[in-house]
Amino acid sequence: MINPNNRLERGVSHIILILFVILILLPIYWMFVSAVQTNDNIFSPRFHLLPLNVDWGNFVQAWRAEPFGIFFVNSIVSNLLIVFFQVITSSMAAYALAFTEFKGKKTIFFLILMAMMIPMQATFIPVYIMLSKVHLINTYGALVIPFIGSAFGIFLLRQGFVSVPKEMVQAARIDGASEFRILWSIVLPNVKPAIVTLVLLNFVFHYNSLFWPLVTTNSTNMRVIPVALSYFLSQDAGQQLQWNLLMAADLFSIVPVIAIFLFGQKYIVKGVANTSLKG
Amino acid sequence: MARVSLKHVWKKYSEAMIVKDFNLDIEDKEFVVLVGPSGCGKTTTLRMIAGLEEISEGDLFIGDRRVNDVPPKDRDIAMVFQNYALYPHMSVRDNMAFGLKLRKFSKSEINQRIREAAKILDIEHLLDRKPKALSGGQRQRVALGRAIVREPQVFLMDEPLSNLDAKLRVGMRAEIRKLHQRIQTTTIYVTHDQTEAMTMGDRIVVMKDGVIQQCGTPQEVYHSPANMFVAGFIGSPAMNFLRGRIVEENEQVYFRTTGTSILLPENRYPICRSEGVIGQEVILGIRPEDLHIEDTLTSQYPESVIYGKVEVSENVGSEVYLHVTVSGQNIIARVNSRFYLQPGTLVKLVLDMNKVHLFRADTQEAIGVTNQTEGVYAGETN
Repeated sequence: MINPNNRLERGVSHIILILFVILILLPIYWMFVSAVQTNDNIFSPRFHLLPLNVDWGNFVQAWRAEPFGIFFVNSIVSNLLIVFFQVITSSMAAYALAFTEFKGKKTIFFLILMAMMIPMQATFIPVYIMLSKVHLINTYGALVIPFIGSAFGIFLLRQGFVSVPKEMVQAARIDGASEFRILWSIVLPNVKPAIVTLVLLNFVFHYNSLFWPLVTTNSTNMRVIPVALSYFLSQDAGQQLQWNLLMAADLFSIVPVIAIFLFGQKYIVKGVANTSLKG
Repeated sequence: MARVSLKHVWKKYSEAMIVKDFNLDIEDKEFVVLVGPSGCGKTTTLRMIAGLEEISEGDLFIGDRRVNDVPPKDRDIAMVFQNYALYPHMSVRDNMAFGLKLRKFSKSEINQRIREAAKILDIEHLLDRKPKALSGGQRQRVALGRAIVREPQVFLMDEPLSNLDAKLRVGMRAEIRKLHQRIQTTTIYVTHDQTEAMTMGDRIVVMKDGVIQQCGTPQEVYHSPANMFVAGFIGSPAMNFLRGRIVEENEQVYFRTTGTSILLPENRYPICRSEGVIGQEVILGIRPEDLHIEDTLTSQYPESVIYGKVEVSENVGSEVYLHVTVSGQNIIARVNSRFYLQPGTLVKLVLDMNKVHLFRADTQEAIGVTNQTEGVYAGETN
């Protein structure tokens, strides 16, 4: 028997949760409604929750408006490279911080935390100048290299690594494993949630990133999805913005992100809970 | 298999001295137990032998080789940890094979060693399971298995039974002893449990504050404790201590505490005189089982009797622990269960004077060595 008080409590918490879900889903729903009707209908003075007309052709039109195939490839390749390198560099740094003793370890960890507090925009100009000097502007190098080391990634993985019993690492050392072998064979398999969390957060962050790809690439062949979406916002004077096409493009742009979230959702909850990174 | 020698070994963390001037020679095939309370430096010592902690000063030898600067993997040791430290993502078989694979053993050799170890430890049916599907006792067996497949020169065990329940611990204690008798590998075992130390070790090293207090066989440590710490730490219930003074009257030497005088056996007179404790404050130690309550004994040895009041009687089945107040000092007597007495009862207890220990009140060191294992009342039942 459920206590009536408990039942009431559960009912209230469910209602609150449902309200939050609506709040989160409403913009996405509105994006979908806008994507399947004409621009005029979007701005129709008549309030409507359902589309006034349904025109799936907006998706085709939006896809053809810009070379989205290239943008998808650019976005996915550059982001996968960022994620790949970041997992490697962050896991090695996190391993050193979590499992080895050396002078200045605390200071280094403190500096890493400090680095997380520097706004990325503050570093854009010097990094841009460096990349331009080595002729990497408008290449994958410009999109990837500045992000292969990440203070946040090191912090996140270090928090995950410290949950691995030190004795396990010591047992592996006595067993004869090298530090690389311990990282690869013992530590990483036991911190999957932290790794998946890093991959997901990173992928989403860079997939959504507009400013850096915008300033470091200048040819259509090197542009990425967010830059392409911004094209829909820069129409010639006198013409109405094509909100319906923008919404349609937005919708197919988020497919990879949704897919990757569905793939890793069971880990991300564990990962965020384990690393005390909430909110 | 090898000897292990620690010569003047120190461990310092900035200002703190964790292990101080540790000297110990462990013979080949010996089972040595390091025992002491938390923070006494026993685990740090073991970890220095394993190579997981740096040695601040001194020399460590495994066999004839000085290994201070040799990494753990090249010391030819295997370690069993308190929390087992099994690799949770690997099966039992892979856990046991990991170290052998890294040492490039052939597949057939690995399989053979795993089969043999699994048979010894009776874990053959668990080889394909993951650690989380095992009970605590089974995990401990796997941890032992992972150590023995390596066939190392030295086994290091860091409180391996602490995470097990009391019953299983008693069983595993005997298993580890049997295992040692079978494979005869030099073993260094760390525990805070004096019963474990007493029952398992060929030799016991009692530590406190990073210093060896006494090193000897369980019998030696029990019957001839070097100081009050060892006397109080080894044995359960702990040894009783009575504070008093040594006095000499009419060429007889007494231990005198408030309201009570106890005549010391004649063989103690020369020691008391030569050690200069006549007239000095001392601590008398007597184990709970060396206090007797039977009327025949109390009337036979009136000069060894103390009077007290029962505070609590604890019945543990075969015997009773009487908590008695004597001259304001609390002592425990371990007597036959038929002497279950109500609180408030006045009792006479007779001390087995040949098993009495005397300690200096200032240094707490034992006065003379009393290596007695046979009591005056041996053969008597209490």
